[in-house]
Amino acid sequence: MSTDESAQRRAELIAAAVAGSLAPEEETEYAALAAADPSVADEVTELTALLARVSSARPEPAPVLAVAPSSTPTPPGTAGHPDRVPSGLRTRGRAPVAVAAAVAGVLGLGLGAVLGVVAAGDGSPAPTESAPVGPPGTLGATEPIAFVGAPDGVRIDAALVAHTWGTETVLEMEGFPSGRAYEVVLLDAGGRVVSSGSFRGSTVPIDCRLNAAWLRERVEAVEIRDGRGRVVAASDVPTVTPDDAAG
Amino acid sequence: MTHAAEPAPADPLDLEDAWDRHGAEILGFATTSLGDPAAAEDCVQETFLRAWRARHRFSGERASARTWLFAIARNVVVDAHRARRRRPAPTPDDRLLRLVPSAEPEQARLVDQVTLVAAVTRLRPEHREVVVAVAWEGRSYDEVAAATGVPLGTLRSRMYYALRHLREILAEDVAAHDLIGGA
Repeated sequence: MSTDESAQRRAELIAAAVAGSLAPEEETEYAALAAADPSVADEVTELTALLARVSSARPEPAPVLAVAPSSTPTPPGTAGHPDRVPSGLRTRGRAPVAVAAAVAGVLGLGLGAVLGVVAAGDGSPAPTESAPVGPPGTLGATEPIAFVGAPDGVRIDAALVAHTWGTETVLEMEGFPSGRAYEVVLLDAGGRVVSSGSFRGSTVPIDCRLNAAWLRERVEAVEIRDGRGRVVAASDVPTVTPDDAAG
Repeated sequence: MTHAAEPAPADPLDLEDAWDRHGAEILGFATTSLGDPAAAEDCVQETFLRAWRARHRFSGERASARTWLFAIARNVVVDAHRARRRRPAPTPDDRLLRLVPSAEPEQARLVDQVTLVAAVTRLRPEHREVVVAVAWEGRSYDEVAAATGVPLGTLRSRMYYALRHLREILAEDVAAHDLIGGA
């Protein structure tokens, strides 16, 4: 085994030990490694504590995928005007507006530029007036998608939002039988699947936002599946290249 | 006697550039930590405003702009969490105050939690994916491998280097926290 391969294997075994997932046949290999290199046990102890610390810091609610500011308006700040407020500070926001307004007022700047974020709070797939816009894959932009095959009586309005660390699926739905569980999955070109989350049918409209840790350029289709894994509705989505995703 | 006007010192921190480079991920961090996009947006504004005010304290030799901004963002998000949790002031009756557990451990946990979320946000995407899947979603490497098609060994290796990088980020954060002062 080369030095690189040995380092790689060392990393794999430590990561497995840290997560408590060494396979039975790897226990012996790990024990031999730890006996030959005392730093292994120390590193496992340290990284195990760190992983536990990270686990305990899990955000509530579940992690929301990144939202991306729109490309900002023409920036007023330049190297020749080091005291000018960067455009990103000029916002429609609440409390910061007062501060930014005070600063901008002193400096003779106007307000009104916005920081764009994806639609939020009301669960609507529709973009806010300040949301980024652009072709599929544009970071933060809402990309409407259409599902086909939905049973009679089921309505699905859907959109995708590309983020820096995944893809958000925004759903407004009606007509899914109450109490039944459904899963939303993303598929790539090779047919591999990642779960984006699940929901239960309800007698009232369902608004939800589900997230998966696949970048938009990997996503080729979205499916809603029932509890037995059968496809209830599906949407083929446009292929996105990394260039598109640059936003 | 007249003196030639001295040129204004250049900003040590190019906030326009910092905005373009790091605005999205700081917004992602704030959104993840707070679970409220509107509040997160405010936090990003506040972060860059504090950074702008404190920009002359920035030293690129002691911390990257990204590290410095995340240190400020962490403080802003902690403040936002505290504002949410703020309760009416307790009665000044000493007998009652003795019955109220100290808020310090809770505050320390809050700071630690926000710090760790910020650190995870700063990982490379492929490293962050495996940390989020294992640490926050409770998935095993095998489950992640089956779902993503990434080989098991690669996922384990990514976790190893992700944790090492997290350790470095947390150490940088301590240093940056000293730099930002009250920002």
